[in-house]
Amino acid sequence: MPSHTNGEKWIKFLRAYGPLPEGNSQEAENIASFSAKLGIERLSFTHPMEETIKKLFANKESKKVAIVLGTAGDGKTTVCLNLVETMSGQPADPACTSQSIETFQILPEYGGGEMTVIYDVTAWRHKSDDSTLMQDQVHLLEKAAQYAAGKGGTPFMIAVNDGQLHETVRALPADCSSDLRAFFDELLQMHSSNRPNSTSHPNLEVVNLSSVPSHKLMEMCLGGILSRPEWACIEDEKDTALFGPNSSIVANYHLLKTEAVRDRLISLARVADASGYHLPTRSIIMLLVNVLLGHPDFPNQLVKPGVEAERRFNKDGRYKAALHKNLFGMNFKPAERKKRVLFEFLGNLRVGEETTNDIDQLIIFGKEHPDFQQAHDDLLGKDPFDQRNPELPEYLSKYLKGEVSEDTEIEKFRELLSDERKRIFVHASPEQFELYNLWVTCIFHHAGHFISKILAPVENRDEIKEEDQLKLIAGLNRVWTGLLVRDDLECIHISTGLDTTTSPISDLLIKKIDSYSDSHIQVRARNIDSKPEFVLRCGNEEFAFELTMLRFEFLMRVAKGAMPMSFSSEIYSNFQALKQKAIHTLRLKPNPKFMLLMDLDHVGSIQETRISLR
Amino acid sequence: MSAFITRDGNIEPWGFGRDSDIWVPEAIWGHRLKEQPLHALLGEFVNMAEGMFRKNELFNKTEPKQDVKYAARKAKELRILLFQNPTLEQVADKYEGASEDAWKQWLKNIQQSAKASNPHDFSYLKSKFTTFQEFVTRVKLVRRSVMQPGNTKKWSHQLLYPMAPSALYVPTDDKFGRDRTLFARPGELAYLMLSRSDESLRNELAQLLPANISPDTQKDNLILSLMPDSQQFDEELGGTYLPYRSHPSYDRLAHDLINILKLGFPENDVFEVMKYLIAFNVYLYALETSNHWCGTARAAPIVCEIMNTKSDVVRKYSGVCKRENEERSLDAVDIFLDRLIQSNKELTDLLENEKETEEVKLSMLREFLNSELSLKELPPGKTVGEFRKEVTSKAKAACRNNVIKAQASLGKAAGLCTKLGTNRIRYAPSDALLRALVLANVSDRMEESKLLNILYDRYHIIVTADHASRSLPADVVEASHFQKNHERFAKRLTALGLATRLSDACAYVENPYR
Repeated sequence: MPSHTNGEKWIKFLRAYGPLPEGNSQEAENIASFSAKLGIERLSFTHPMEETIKKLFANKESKKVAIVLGTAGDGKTTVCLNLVETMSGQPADPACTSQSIETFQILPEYGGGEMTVIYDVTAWRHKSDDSTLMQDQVHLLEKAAQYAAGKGGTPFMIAVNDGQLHETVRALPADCSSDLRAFFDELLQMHSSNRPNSTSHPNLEVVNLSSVPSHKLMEMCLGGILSRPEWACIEDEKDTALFGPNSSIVANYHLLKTEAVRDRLISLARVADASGYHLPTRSIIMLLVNVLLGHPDFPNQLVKPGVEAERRFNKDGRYKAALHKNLFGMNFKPAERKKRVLFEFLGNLRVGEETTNDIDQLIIFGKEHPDFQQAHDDLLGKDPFDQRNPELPEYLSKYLKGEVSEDTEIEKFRELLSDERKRIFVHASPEQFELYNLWVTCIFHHAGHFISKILAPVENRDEIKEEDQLKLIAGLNRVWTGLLVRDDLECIHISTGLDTTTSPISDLLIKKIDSYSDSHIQVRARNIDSKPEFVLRCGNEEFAFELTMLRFEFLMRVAKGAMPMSFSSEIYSNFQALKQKAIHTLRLKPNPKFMLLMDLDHVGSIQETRISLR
Repeated sequence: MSAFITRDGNIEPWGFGRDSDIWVPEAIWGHRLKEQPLHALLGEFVNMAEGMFRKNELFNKTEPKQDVKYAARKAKELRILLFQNPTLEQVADKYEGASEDAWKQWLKNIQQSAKASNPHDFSYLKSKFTTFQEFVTRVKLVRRSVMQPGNTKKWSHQLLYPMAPSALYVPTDDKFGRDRTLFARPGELAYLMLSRSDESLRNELAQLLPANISPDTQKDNLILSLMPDSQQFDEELGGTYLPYRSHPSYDRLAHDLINILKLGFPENDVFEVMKYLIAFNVYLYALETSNHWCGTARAAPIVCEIMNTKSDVVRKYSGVCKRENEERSLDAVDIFLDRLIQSNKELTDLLENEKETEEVKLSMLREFLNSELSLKELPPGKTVGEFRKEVTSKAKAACRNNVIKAQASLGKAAGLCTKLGTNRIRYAPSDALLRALVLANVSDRMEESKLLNILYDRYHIIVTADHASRSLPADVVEASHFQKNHERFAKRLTALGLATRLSDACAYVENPYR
């Protein structure tokens, strides 16, 4: 068997973290043996929640029953393994981890005594064909419930996925104790309401690893992967095909280290969070490994060291595995790509697929046209790692000569343009990104604005700027009234139609809410998770809704003049439901003695006509 | 398992005149289950509820034998102003600013226009408004709340959204005579269903609904300003018959409506959700009734395709299931006729008596069925066998024309049935129905599988492989297709803002109004 170079081993090792068909290859339980076999230390990150968990146990008193929740791949097992090592002074016992449960002695400095860790509830309870839990498992959970209720016993840490938690509750036998039922009832309540502390069980604590923002995990993973000393192979083995000048790995590694690409990845992670998609650590690592090693021509679409690599990298084909393609899973066929949730999410952003006149004219005419030449050279001119598809210049030339007319050619040309837009999206520096407003190449045209003008101040507990608040007000006014009201009004007009409050044209005014007198408008951080929420206050009543990426995008587009119903029927109905809820929560009632009928003048100012009903 | 609705003492025949060619569908499903557009179903239901509220009898218990009557509004002047008033804008434009002249001209025009239907005096209007323009503004405003304006060309069938009691009236012919083509009674059947629900539910409904049909609200006052001071009501009319004292669908409908009413929708928005639940529950009532007659005391399985872009087993079976469910009404007709004849011992003895002549048997059978089924025309059968066959065929034809069409119309109105993307109608719930079901069944945040269990247990809705395997033959349950259907369900609810998806195929459904 030929011996492998350090570089080959490293790539082989990284592949195990990639989007391979055997999806569980990345699980902590499996990676350890692979790591030992290759003699490479596994990728390790200190999860931001580890310190919180440690505090629950690494003290002499008041230890907890900690339920560690999180999306699959958030690092629950790793967190448990690390805690066992800290608390017992030695690594977890492989014989126990294979059974998914370990009971150990706590070091005296942490108070001594016994503690039990269940590494993964599903693996732990899959021991019989019976759908209910086995007697000894129920007995163990009874002990955890007893300790959580403050009735004595020893502390526990239990790692469980969201779905598994419900499965476990369903698997409880009918004759289990009322204490155990009460324990799980409380746990489900805490889970569904994102509550970390229990009101009924003094020793029960829920730690949700998914509550850490994805962009923080992205930063952590980028640092963790790119700082590995094994990357020295790029310099040490530059004479080999695997790390030579035609290698896509080398190109993608250097690009991934640039500020531009890192900035983009972090922004995408922020957009994911703001859209309700949490990116678990495992998915982020998978994505980064795919960015580095993805290649459509290799088995499993990931570069594999060996003869295959030598054959493929003997000529330049780096554009095929360009970073901007791998980032969106383009190294996979569409059906394969769809199987991975993360690629499905990134695909739904349609990066590069939104046509835009400004960018398209730069791509198509920029090189020749004097008006666009400078911008073209600035944004598109540089391509140090040959990421652009070499067919693009040829097609551009054909297009300008009017020679792209066949359906297949038109389709190909569109594909090349989309590819080039993706490339610009990923490679543009933060300054260029802002200058050319590159978010317009994806569905969230206002994502940049959302990140810098809403998320940033809200995270810092600052007020958003007045001009940004006015834009939100303009969007809400137009959606909720159905009228093209001017975009500089300082108050929100809550109005209804004559039939329903959600009538597309709602021109009967019930209440104006501004930032003065007894009412209030504000964007602030939500208590439970610090996400931004839009708040309307009227007298003593308050109504708030989460300002998600989609809602923000919708409001911005409508504020700029788009018809509220032209975006998507779901988001339009969503805002109509919010209006109903606002009217209900703020206790707004129409006056039975008169009506205020709204109409617009030629500049969109609202004129109110009073209709007396006496 | 619930008791059969066909048990002795639960059914009472109707004794107030039978307006039907053959009283079979009416005897099984009531008088009557007929095609009705959604807006008319809602309008009819709210009209009856408001009529009973005015009588102080809202959701009082009713009996099958009772002819429940209420007086509806005619609102003649209002309807002429809104729908028979073509020169309003023209006069307003012509006499801009000259209010007196405008009133004079318009009053002349409207007298002319209203003459054909009924002479009316509109002079009361002038004193109610400062200017003619103010009057025009109000008429135009109220016109905007017409439900389904494109649904009918007949002005006398135009209905206003039930935003206030004064907006309620019954459709008529051009001369304001009662016209039952639009208010065909399913809306009244829905009211009667609620009036037979459990007492505690009726009491709760009687507490909750009046907030939506009470007078002296802003919208009520607006409409009243267009009407004469004294309102005219039609004479009290009844004639709607619901055969069963108790039926599983009564409490189900009541529960759904109570849950919706409790959400505190602003103004009268609740009717926008309620209409889908009424149509859906009346549809289930029809299917469940057929099932009970056929010997199954359980709601029919509703295999729902969550809208898919391509055809699969779920789509195929959702169509088959719909057809089978609705056509079971024809089997119910057979069983009903058999049971009817069997119930007359004298007749069955005679029919079984080999010594008796065919003529005598036929004569007695004719007499009996004629009296029981109020046959408008006696079929000409020459033998007992022929006669029975002809009666059955006539009854089935009536069932097809009324019940099966009504079921199709209710299913479509509820948003349960569609042929979107195919040429066959199938169960594929619309976003509006899914939303209504979530609002009616989710109080606290609940796991998606719990909601699916509720939908299965309460309505026999089948989305998942697990539920399919419990209710359908094993050979049609293609688990992977139902699994994808289940995934689409979670995705759809998420897109509608009704669910939050977590890891490990876990999703929480939430009622945004809670």
